Amino acid sequence: MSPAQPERRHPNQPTGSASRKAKRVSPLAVHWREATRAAQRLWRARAGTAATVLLIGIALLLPALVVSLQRALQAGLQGVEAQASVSVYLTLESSNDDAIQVSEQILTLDGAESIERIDPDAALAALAASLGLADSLAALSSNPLPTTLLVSIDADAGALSETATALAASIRGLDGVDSVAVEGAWLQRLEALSSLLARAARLLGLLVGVGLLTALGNTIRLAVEERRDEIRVSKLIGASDAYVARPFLYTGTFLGLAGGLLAALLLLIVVAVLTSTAQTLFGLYGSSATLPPLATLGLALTPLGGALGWTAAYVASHRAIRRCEP
Amino acid sequence: MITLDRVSKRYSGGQDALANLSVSLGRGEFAFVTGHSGAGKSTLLRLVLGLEKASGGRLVVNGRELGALSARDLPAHRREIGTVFQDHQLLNDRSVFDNVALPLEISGLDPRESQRRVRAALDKVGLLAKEKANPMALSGGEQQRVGIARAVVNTPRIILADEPTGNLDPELSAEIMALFAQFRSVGVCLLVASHDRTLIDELGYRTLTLEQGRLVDDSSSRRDKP
Repeated sequence: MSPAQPERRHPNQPTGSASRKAKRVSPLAVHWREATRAAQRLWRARAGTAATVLLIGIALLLPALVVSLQRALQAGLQGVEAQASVSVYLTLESSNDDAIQVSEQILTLDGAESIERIDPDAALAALAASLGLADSLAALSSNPLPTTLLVSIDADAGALSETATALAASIRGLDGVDSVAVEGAWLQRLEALSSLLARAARLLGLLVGVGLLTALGNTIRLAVEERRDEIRVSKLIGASDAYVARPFLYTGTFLGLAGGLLAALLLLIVVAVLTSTAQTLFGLYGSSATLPPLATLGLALTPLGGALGWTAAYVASHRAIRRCEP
Repeated sequence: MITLDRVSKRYSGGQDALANLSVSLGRGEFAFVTGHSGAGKSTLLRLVLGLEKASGGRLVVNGRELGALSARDLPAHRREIGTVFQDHQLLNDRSVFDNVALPLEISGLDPRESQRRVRAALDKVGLLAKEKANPMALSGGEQQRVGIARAVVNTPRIILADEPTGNLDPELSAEIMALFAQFRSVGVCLLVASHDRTLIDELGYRTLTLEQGRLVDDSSSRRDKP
């Protein structure tokens, strides 16, 4: 073993301040450098980048659209649900006192807010006026209509149509009640549709998420393959897997963020286009509701895209980089 | 700096690439590893670099026992060793400067300091004027010198070279060896795998001869040690 010559410099050691304990660049600066390089690489491959961003944008738009439709329907329902009520038809023999007694019993039940009583004579007059059959109805020997109680539903008791159905079931068991009808049963169908849309949005979101992770992961895996030589050499001279993976993580995140932003913009456009149509539709049901503001959903799409991009890049790059052994 | 104590390496097929190899190299020592193809030269370098784990024995490099290092610690170990390859392993989508700067970038060195070191390394190998060139535009000898600049830019204590003159003519080979000699003279330990007997005999450094993974000869240097 040869003796050392500590007084001599390494041939590559520059004079002056340079030494083994040279100044290191800050971790933040390293991240900035890698992020800039990833952005530059994406810019250089503009066509491929645009195609990937478009794919992500449209894929994220689909569940977002279903969510916005469901919210719109929900908003419309809230506008027209006030029309939900329960009509209670008393037996023909019921007297005025019986009607008052049944009304008092109904008001003690959950979901009943107020009661409007329509006596048989008023009901017959209204029928005659609406059908234009005043003469024919006047010829009747007795009034065939029962006393009717219109029960308004308490809006705080939960979903109005469900409350009305439950209330109707309770009223059916009361003495003096002949039949009960829930007005606005179509609301239940719309609520079922709204519930279906909400489930569809969740399912679609899950499928789109898995699809995007796969597609983005494949894009990143191909990018790793393209730079296989660089990765191998870098690992050979001391780069860790985390160091090598960093640019790919930025690439995935940038693609996801851009895709999410595109989805938010597309959603904004679609909502703007559909707003007047939706208002017309809700108007037909007597509701002044409009499409709900989608700022939260739109804002969520961008970070959601970024998170999906990062996750896809993390999984794909680490697996691919591990295989690039020097 | 490098100590192998009864190191062996057996691949999954059952083939012994190295068997009971015990060697020690100190600071400023230059040693050739020679032998026929398949003798275990490259395996020895890969073990020292931490690219593969020994199947048995003890391997200490730069004061670290490699068997005890975790996968997380290995990159730092590799950063302290300069490596030169027969096929240069340069990145053709980067300039000469950027190729040489790569180890410093990985080490997280300050860019200004990095620039100084890269220029110093390129100056040392006589390629400062070609720092902006693409490696593909250089001759084989120049590419090898870029590889050497990259190996030494991080001021390593150990340099491993696998057939560094394999593709070069005798004149260029002598140039490369002269560069190595300069590093040796300041205490860098060099382990060079080569099957060029003429060059080895001519230079007269310590020579480890391997045959089927076994050390069959360890001839001492005929030269003055630094």
